[in-house]
Amino acid sequence: MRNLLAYTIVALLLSGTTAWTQEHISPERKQAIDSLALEKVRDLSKYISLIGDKETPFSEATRVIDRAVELFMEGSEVGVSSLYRPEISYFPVKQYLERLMRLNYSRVEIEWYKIEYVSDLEPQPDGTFVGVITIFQRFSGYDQEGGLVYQDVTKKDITVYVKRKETQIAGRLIGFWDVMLGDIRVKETTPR
Amino acid sequence: MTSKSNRALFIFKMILLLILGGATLTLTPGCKSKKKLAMEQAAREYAEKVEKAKAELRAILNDDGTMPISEMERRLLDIRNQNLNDPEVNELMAQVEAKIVAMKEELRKREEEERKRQQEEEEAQKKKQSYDYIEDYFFQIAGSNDINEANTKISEAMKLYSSDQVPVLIIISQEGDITDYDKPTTIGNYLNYLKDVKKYDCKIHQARFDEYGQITELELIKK
Repeated sequence: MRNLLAYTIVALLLSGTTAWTQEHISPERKQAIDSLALEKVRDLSKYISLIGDKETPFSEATRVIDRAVELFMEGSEVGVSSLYRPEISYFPVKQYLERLMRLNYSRVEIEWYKIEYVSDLEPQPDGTFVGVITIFQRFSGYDQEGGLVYQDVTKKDITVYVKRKETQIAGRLIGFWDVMLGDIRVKETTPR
Repeated sequence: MTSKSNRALFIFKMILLLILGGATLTLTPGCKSKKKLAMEQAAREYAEKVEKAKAELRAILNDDGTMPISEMERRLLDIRNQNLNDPEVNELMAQVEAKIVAMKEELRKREEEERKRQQEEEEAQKKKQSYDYIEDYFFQIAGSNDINEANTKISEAMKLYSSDQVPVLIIISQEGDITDYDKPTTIGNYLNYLKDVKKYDCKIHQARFDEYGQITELELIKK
């Protein structure tokens, strides 16, 4: 029994080493992947801003919602906070974006800034790179007269998963990096 | 009287023989020394030529690239024409010859690379000009003032493509034989993406066309 346990541990360690060796990439390639993941988060920030914008036509907003949902892993959730209540609510991505589109303000401005890694992309035994990107979101809601009704700044952490995959395009094998966003967790909400 | 004179003649002959013998003995070593000197002189001159040749050949071998190949060849020919027939000089000449061959090969390669680079540059320039009309739409869509303007441009741009499902591949990194792409998308989605993010930060790497001149595949590369 003890021998079996030892063999299992050695086998697990070896399989982990193999995965790491397979996924070992040069610093230049790693930098390109880091930038790609950051770009996906920046794209999401543009989508969120468009979805929240009351001037975005409904057809455009629903199209953008679909594009935004494609950025996430299935089952991912987004945290929502408010200065008026201490608890944080979590919604499935699509539900969160649809709620965002229907917010009860005449005008909404959502801006993401300071988008950066808090935890670098690190390779996992299965070949996936996992990291955490933090963002600051400034939310401003206005009434019909253009008066600012609500404003907060929320710090959020987004888990990022990056995995190399292959696909056939016109008979060619293409190796691509699939960036998927995970949960968006609220870290802190302040008035400004 | 006759016997007296015969005796005197005999004595005279003997004296003459002695003088001639003495002179021969005195003069012969003098001739030998002259030949020796000449041979020694020739040997010295040969040794000097050999040393000079060796020095020149070593200078060529140790040259760090300042001496032109033509000069190396000229010096080597001069030395070869001297027919010195010295083993060390022959060995050094062989080394210099090998160096010249290697340098010529290196020069040929460099010229070939330069020619290839210029050719690629020209082709890239031509390609860039030929893709300008495609990229113009990307910039116009990304720079549109409103959604309607962007959608109009998208409709116009779509006429260049065989369908809205034309694959768009975006290269994010190239290293040796490895090319890394972003997740493949379609031209329909890509043009809308440009409208949404209001930014075009790639350049066209390659485009494929069908027999009607419509684009069937687009490969972009991140700037």
